[in-house]
Amino acid sequence: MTSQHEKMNHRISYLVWRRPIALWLVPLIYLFIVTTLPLLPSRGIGLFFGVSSFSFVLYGMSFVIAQHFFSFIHHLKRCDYYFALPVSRSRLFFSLNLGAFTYLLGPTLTIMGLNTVIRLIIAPSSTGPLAFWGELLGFLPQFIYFFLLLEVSYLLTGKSSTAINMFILINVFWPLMIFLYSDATSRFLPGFINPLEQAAHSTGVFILLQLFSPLSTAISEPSNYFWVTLLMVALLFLVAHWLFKHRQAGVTRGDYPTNGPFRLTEWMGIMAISLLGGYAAHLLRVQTAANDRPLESVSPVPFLIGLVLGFLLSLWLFNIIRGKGRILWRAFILPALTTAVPLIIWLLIVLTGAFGFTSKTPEDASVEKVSIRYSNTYGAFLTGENKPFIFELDDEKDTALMFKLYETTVAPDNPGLSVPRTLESLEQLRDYLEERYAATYDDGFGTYRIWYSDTYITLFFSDGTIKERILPMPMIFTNDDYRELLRKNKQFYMAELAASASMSTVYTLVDMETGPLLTEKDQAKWVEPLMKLKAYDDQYYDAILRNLMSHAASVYAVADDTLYLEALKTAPMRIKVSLDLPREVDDNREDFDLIIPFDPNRDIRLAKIVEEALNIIEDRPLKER
Amino acid sequence: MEKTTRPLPKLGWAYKHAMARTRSLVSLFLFLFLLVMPIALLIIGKDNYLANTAPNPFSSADYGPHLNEVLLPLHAILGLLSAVYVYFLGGTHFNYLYRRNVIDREESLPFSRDTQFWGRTLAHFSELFIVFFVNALLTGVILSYWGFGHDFAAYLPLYLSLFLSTLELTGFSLVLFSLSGTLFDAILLNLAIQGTWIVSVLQILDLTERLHDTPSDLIWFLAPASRFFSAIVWPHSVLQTVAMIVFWTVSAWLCFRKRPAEYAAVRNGQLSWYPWLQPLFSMFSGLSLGQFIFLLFDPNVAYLSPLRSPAFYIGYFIGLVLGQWLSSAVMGKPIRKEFFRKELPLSLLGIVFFIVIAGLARLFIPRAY
Repeated sequence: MTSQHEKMNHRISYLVWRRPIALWLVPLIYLFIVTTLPLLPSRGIGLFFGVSSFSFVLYGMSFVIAQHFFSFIHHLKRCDYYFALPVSRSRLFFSLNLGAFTYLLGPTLTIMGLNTVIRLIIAPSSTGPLAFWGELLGFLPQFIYFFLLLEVSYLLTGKSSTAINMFILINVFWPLMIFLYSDATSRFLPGFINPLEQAAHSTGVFILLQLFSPLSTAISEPSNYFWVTLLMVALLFLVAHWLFKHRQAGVTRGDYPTNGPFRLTEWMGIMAISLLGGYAAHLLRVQTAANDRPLESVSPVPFLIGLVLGFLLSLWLFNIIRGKGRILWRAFILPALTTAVPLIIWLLIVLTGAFGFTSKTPEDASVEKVSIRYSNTYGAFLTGENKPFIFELDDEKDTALMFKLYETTVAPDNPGLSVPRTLESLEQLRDYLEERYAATYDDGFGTYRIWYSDTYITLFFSDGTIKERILPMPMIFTNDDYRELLRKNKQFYMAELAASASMSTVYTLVDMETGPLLTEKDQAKWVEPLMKLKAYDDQYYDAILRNLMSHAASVYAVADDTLYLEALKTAPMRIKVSLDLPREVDDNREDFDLIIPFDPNRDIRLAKIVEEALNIIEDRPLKER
Repeated sequence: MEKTTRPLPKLGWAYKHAMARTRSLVSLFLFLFLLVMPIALLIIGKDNYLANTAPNPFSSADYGPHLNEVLLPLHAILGLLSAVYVYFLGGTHFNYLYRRNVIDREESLPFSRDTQFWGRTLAHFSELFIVFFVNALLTGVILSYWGFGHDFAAYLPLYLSLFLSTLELTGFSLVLFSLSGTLFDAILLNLAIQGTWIVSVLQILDLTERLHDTPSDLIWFLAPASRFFSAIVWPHSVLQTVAMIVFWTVSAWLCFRKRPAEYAAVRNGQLSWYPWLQPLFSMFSGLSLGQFIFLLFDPNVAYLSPLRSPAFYIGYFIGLVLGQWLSSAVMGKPIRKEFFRKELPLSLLGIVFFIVIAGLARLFIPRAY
């Protein structure tokens, strides 16, 4: 009995571990050449030494390993042999996965270990290797998810080539479909918040994309979603286990009864290719258009022609794949219906403007509150941080002014809001506003126009209606309401200053002055070096001040007014802000002068900026510059 | 009762059946070709075409005598599409070679291998011609109707050159289709040969100081797909292309005639001819790794030729072995313990290849600088 048990164990371990040595050697040698060798000569350190080299190997080898470990499922005789072994399906599944993951991750971890040892020998005090381990381990759940999804493809299909094709097509079509439909909707309906935009990106979007396409999320810093991916890995592992347990043995090659995976791929493919056709035709027409911008009228016809051609082409293509080179006329009906219906509904909604989605506001209600989301502050330059914040306006006059700005954008004469809408509607709306409100500056070499990025705004109406939009709005000095709002509301002014440098809306002149409570220690430690810097490199000095201004302003914008007043009295330093108004505006500049106090001893982020700035100054002695 | 005998099927029968088998595929590609050129032109519209192709004194772009701002991107997409079309058509016509149960049936049909080959090959050529012809006809009609017939006439030589290049790629692919054991290997090998050849020759020309602004025709010899795009910048000789079409097609025919049916479903690495191709991959791998090691480890990298650096040769020899081993592993050649005894000497042929190509370059191509 024991001997039989041992025999079986031996047989299983033979099946799992007796694989070609090339599965280890190919990735080992490749990684050694592109990551270890460049470490050896001093000038080569860092060359090719990135997660991308390892990603390339892990993604590529996933296909090879999956074929080696799970292709038996598609061969009648081999499948019968595996499933006839006197072990439970679960044990077989776990053993095969253990082997597969060892072969997949082993070479990468081995080379990582070798590289770490070499790095520690070359530069023992360096923290780089450990940080890199952290980065790579952050990515690992994603690779595992990628492999498991491929394994599920094998378990759901009847042929290895079908499994691989389906996996690749789904990985491509799924994110393509999501990207195209969300982008097109935001173009047809100005104000619609594209969920893939950085400002709106969320865990839900990440899960949605990763569900069928782990490849597409590789570029969106998956280490930020480590635990989410880990949870998805666990769930997918359970799914794969269930499929493995219930996989029918004795299915001949290419004859698996489930047609679901193909139908899903076909649906995604037709939806994506149809819209891709629409994009291609529309862009072809608009990019070659003879008339100059702003475009007054754009026809939706090229888009519709492209959409129909894309639809026909994709139907045809998938029909030929299904018929293995022959047309199957009956097989056109179901895919045509399942894709045409949602496509036509979507089309009707966006072409008609979605029942006033952009322009319509409640008639019998006033705006009670407005909030603006600032997602890209200037602080990223020195600290690498980006601290988004939300600013709220609830004063009646302020909200009225802000609503007027909103109404300027959605005015009925704006060509971007004419019906039928097109893929160009958002651009038209933006161009129209830019034409009317862009500020003109002259820097001595020539004149140039200033415009800015869109505003993420939420309007809260008295009847409970909430409108959340990302829209181009004339929040620029050439607009009277905007200037009035800045004059009236200092905190709003601060919020705009916090985002000013990244959004280029407010052109400011900044300088530093001492506060009443500046200590000698502060004076010697950081104030004097900064002041000296001004004489040597005024551009760098200006950049540092703007970083400080941005951070300090973002704090005062959302804090109680007393914090600002208190800081004015106690802060050791102040930044004096004055405005560089464009030539179109005759207002008194002094109306917009502002003092922003800052105290790095009290605010850790300000302290960090000062520290970073001083580090850079130390690295570049002033005499050398 | 009089005994009747039916005549044996001839070339026409094989040709007709080959044409019928790929009808759907040809229609699909015809549609794609029309999308890329005449339909795209219709979407752009006459006025926009005129505005974009009108002489602009401020534009520094030079589109050569054949193309303009509108036709250039369309032609580039057409080039890509043509390459895909050639591979799909070839794969469909010769797929039967790789399936054991199918090849037995086809081989037992009452006509010769020559009929099989020429029936399918002529169908392949005809299908390329039909698509190119219809596409040219409609494009010509549209441009002439708009009053830009002269643009089409100027473009036609480049279009014909593209067509000839697709025939050359077809011939080249047919050789590999006839030699290979699986479709996957046939296409992988096709791409690998073209890629490694072009990179290796460019490196050799650079090392021997023979890399001119107008590259030598040697580069295109084993990389016919590159002619699709290189012809836009450097016109190729029509005679040379026709000669290559004949050369590759006849070679494919000879390979096809000698092909044992047992090759079906056997990986290329296990076929007898494959070791003779591996030195190409060894040479490529040797040159690439040699340059890489030279760049990394030679302190005189800025002013020394790689050929004078020991680092280059160390990398070159390691690369030779790795290239030989990798090309065996990828093509399914069983790697056994006697690898070093059997394969290592073969990998040294990579050096012979290198010396031959470098010698030819030195003999027939003048120094570039």
